Amino acid sequence: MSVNIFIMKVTFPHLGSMYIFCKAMAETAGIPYVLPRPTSNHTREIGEYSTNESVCLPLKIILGNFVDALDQGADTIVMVGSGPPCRLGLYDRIIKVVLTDMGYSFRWLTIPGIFNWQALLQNREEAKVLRRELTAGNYFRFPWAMVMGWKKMIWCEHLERTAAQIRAIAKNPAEVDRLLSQGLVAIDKAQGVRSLSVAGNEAIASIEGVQKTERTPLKVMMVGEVYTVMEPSINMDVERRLGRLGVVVHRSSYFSTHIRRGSRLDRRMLKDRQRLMDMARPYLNYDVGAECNFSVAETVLGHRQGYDGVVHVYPFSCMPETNAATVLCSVSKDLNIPVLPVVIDRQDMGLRIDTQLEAFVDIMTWRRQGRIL
Amino acid sequence: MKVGMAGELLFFEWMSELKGRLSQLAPEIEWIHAPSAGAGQQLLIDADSCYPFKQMVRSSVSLLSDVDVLLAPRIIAMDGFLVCPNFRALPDIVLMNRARLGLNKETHVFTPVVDIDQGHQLEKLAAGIYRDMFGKDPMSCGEKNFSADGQSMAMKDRDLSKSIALIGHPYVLEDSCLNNGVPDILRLNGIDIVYAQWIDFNELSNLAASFDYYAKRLYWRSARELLGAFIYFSRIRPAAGIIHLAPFNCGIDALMRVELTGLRKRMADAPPYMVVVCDEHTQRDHVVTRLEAFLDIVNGVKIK
Repeated sequence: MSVNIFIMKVTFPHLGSMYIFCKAMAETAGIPYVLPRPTSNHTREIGEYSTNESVCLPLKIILGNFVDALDQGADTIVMVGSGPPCRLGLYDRIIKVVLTDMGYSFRWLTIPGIFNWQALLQNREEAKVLRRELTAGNYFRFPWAMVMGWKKMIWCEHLERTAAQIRAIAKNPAEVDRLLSQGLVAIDKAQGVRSLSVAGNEAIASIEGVQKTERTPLKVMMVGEVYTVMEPSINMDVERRLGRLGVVVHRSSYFSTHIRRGSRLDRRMLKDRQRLMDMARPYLNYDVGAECNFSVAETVLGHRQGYDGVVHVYPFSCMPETNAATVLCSVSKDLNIPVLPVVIDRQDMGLRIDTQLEAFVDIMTWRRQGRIL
Repeated sequence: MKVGMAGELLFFEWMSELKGRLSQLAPEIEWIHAPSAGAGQQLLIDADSCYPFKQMVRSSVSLLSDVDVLLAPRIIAMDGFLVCPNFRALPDIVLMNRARLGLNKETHVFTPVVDIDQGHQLEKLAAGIYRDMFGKDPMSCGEKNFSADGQSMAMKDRDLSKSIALIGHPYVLEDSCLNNGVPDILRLNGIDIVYAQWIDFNELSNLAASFDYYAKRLYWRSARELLGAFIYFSRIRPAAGIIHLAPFNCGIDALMRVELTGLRKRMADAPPYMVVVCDEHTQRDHVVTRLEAFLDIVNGVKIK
């Protein structure tokens, strides 16, 4: 009989800059970790070959990340959970099945994305074994690890927002991308609050200091499914591609937005959530689930705030966002705002996205110039 | 009064019960489920939606020209478990299409929220719909018993060892348009078929519960039905083979296919299992070829 021996080495998905948050927490708390390599075509292929055509791309990519990390020696998977009615709430259940089928041995810890009794009891149960392997030092440092992780995440998001603003007007947008990467590395490496603040401020200053053009950039709101909005390797780098075409992309949500919304502890976010649900109401009179209503509401918001267009990104076969896409056809017509649906799957090619985005930018430019209504 | 409801929705047992209850309360209702003609124009339904959902929207929109009242229920949950999120948006998408196409604006569209677990909730729902339709309270016409139907009882005495079990969403199993004629093809080959829906849902849900784990409980009704039926036809009363009819792009079935395949790998002597993905573009010949190959496997297993 084979006995699995685990020496705790945690891993987590490599999504957007979220890995910096997870890594900071593990490092500060002194928990050994394995960081999956950045998502590549190979990551996608692992997910694709181990599931089926109708499973959504984020699940395939997360699965690919975990396979990569387990191959590198990780043995404990940590993932943020979610709840019904979207499939995201059962990602962990399905990924466990696939990894077991593939012959991997691992432990699992789901961080509740929605705080309810079931999720908390599950977390307690899953953490039971892991807790025994943690030292008093790990426990002692954990609150500080959370603070550090959160601060790093906020800096990363600030940096990404700044890059999205400047990229559109930079003389050389590639320079912004380079400085953004450098900045993220510096934030990732920062060991304390002061060094983090220095690294963050320096990165912002360097991005803001690039040579700029005189053009007035177009403004686009990017809405859609959470993972697709946040992870460039899933959305085929839509934000960067648009930035290079002279468009400022405002992302509807960041990782921190979802933590705040999911925890339901932040009153302001609760109010904001209700406001968005009301905004979607003429079109959707019930919460369809996940970000469906938010995608619709944020498009309405984009129109009110004078955005030139909306890019709706979602993975092929995403149930809530498929409905949002249908509704957005109507919203686009009613409010006379261009909405570009970008449905992403493994088979997608950058060139197709480029062609779509170029045509979309042309439409927005002509509308701004009054050449088309 | 002519009342329309998309025929595809009636394959849900609760919806068919609702129709029956409404007919009891208002015998003057003339039900129409199949539109006399299509909407005539392309509808607003995203191309990524699954075929059954597109069909439900098409049927509902097309019915607007044939009826006085359209029932486009917003189905949230049945038997205490959630239904696919698409059903939450169904009435909104129907209304959106009506506005866009400028279709019969005189037709009243009722969009009751369906969240039923018990028979009395159905009574309440039917009474509410009646009140909205006729502007008065319904006359009481006695309690109706909600019990397992004849088919469910008949399953108990049936030998399934030579039958092929069909599992999937009720509307896919029952509607030959949505299942690419799989049951008919099997019948033409002289195969006895059994449906997952013939087994009481509570029994299937209890079987599925053995795989629940705190929050990782299958929260969709159809997923529980699928998993329960798979266990039933492979462990409890094994069938000769199991065919899973899955609509292309169904999010729930996509995950369940992974789970069922994994489960089957871990089972000893599990019957052959095949997934047939149904879509409006699927050709009958392809389905026939796959079914023939599957039946060969099933027969091969028997010979061995």
